[in-house]
Amino acid sequence: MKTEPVIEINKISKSFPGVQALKDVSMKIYPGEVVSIIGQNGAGKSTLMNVLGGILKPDSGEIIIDGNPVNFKSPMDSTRKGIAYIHQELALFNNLTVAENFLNNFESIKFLGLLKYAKIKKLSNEIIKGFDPSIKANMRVGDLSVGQKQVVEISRAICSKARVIIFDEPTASLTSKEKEKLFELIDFLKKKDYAIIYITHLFEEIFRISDRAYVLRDGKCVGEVNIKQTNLKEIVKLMLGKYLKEYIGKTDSSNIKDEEVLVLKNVNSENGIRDISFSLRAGEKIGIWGLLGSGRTELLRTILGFDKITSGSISIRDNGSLKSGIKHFSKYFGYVPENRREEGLFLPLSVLQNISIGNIKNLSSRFGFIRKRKEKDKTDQAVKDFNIIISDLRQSVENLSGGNQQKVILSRWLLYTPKVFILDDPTKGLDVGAKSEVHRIINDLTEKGISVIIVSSDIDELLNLSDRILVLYDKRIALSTKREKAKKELLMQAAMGHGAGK
Amino acid sequence: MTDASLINNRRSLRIKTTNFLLNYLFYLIFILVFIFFSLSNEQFYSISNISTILLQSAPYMFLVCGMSLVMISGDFDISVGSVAFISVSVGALAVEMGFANTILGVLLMFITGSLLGLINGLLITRLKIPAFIVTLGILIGGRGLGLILIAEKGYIFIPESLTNLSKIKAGPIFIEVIAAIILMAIIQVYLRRSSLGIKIFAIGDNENAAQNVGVNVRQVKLLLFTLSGFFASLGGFIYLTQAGNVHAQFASGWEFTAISMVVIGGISLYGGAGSLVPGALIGIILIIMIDNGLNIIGASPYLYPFIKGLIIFVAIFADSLKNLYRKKL
Repeated sequence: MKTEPVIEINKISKSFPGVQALKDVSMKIYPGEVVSIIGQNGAGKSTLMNVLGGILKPDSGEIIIDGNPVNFKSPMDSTRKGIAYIHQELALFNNLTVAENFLNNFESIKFLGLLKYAKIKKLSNEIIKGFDPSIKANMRVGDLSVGQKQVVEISRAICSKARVIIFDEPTASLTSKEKEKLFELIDFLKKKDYAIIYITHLFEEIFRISDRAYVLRDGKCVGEVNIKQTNLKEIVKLMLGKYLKEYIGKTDSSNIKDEEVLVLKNVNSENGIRDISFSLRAGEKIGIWGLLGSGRTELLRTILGFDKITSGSISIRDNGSLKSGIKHFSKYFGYVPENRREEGLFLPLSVLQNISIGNIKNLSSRFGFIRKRKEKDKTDQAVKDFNIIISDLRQSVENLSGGNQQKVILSRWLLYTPKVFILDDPTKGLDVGAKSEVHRIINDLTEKGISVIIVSSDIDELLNLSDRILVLYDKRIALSTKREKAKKELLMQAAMGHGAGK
Repeated sequence: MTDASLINNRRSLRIKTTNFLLNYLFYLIFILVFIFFSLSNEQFYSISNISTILLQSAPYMFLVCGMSLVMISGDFDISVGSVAFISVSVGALAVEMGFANTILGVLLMFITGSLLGLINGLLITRLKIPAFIVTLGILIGGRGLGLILIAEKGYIFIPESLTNLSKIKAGPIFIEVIAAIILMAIIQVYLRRSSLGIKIFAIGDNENAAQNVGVNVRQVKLLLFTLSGFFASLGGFIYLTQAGNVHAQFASGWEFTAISMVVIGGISLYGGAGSLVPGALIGIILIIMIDNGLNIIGASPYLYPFIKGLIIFVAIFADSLKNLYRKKL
């Protein structure tokens, strides 16, 4: 290994309003090595990569490539200065040929203003032949497989004379055969002395492909490990840091009744959910945890019937008996979507309207006119029950705090008293006080015999709140455990694809 | 060969057939329409009538040179009719009032057109207003401005030296038709063989990705809208030499006629695909031919918009299907 790093990141910091996303992060990456960047969701990986890719500007710190400090004005500028960023979503032109996709590197090859196509095709063929001889320069990119497209994108990076290549979760949409091919390709790039940054959630891949790894936690670089001299446990320890302690449960599970409310049996769905079975009892809180792309949202969408199931069954208790084939979700479920501002609220409308919309039909007369008095009384009650702090029911929800907005959404469904609440990251972006208030509301719900499914990216929250935790990995359940028995390392390992048993 | 790959082959064959049909549907319709009118009335396929069809197509051929490029880049320019109207009004008025000689007047038309295009482009690329809104503004406001210009008499006549231009023939074909087709062909070659051309396709295909690989998207768009304005005034000028005067309805509705011609010719409404020659050229001639043919067989004029609308609907339908298929692949 050569002694001079290709790229040196020196004390990079970046903050967003209210969040220190990166703090004094330093790294060195040498030619011919693959370095993984590891961290939980929100640890700062994507911020760091966006800084390297020229999408974000750091507040302080410097990036040094081949000994020269550089500043990136745009993604294009970063590419020109030697960093190729292979995004998860490939940035290719499907209607153009492979050679035409390479064009920005060959613009100068022309005669009388017209490109010398024969020559460009020949050059493109030469570059791509080294990776995958089945791809030809005159093929339309749209006709290639995902794996082949990735090869095209990597080749394009190579011919732009990049020295550093960033792979952002490159295997997400690849078949296992294509994965192997990609790994071979990365080995090949290593031998050619490129510096490679590899980002993934999957431990298997980290151990398979990388030489070193940096671990990020809360925006700080907390460790640098040599993959050959480390193990899974050590990495998980670094990722979790001070949080690593066994949780001692506080909330009791005495509200749980024996009656099953929702039963999933071997559910497969068109959005990729595989073989999911679990049952939810009345008054029970199930927490669902998994990393990005593990299928959390897909599972919720399947339960709610937004995406069709292809096999298995979902049944729900209705008038005392379990029934499958749910037609309209809002009859049984109260759903609180992840992005409350975009998917949950009608921002310019009043608090009153935002709450009553959940049950507008029952608040209307037979001819569809809204019974104003009843609407107001009911919403008033909800506002009091949930302790929503507003000055007037007619106030627009746009200017409420995040916590109060979330309470508006929750109370909307309560007018309806659904059997099951489905909460997708209900405390995202809330401060501690608002968080505990939402937690209190969730506990109140279960006291009334309502069951709750909570998805969260915050593992501590789930350990705090739920009676049972399901860990998803690769669109299936990797681990199902009672809260008392849950150990954070085990959950983390399961979420990373190292199934630690049932 | 395994079963799975056999099924796969069969599936890909079906997709290929469908794709082929969707791509060449309008060549087929073109031939069928031609045969239909020829059988209905033998006057239709006389050399002089074909020459007339081409002559009537000529203004659109120039116009579409700009429109095609804009649409391949994934945008729309619905101001072209009004831009043509104002440009020729300005030029013709300057000549009529004695501010400029004929040549200067014609130059003035092209300058006005290009300037209007530039304004479109600046509003779209600098202020980030959607192209549809900006060009809709020019479509309405521009027509109004043109009406003020010609308000005095309702007509502006042009010198005979200009109307004579539209009477020059090379053999049976009018010279402007030849010029238009040559121009379209040159642009087509340039589009597929220059780096700018490929960039236009790239922007229409995936604008963000184009930006990321270093295409200066704003600059290209600015150029395209300016070109669109220029070609609109060029088309307007050619039409003016044929019509002999500017009037209130001059070039009205050109934008939608041009868009439908282009889409019939296979340029996608979603951007990133299509050609001027043969694509857009076929689209133009098909639409004009239907007008001409219906006229010759003596069909009710009330029928024209319906039949044109039908053709346009089929074109847009085919375009959407093509897009769906591409996504499935």
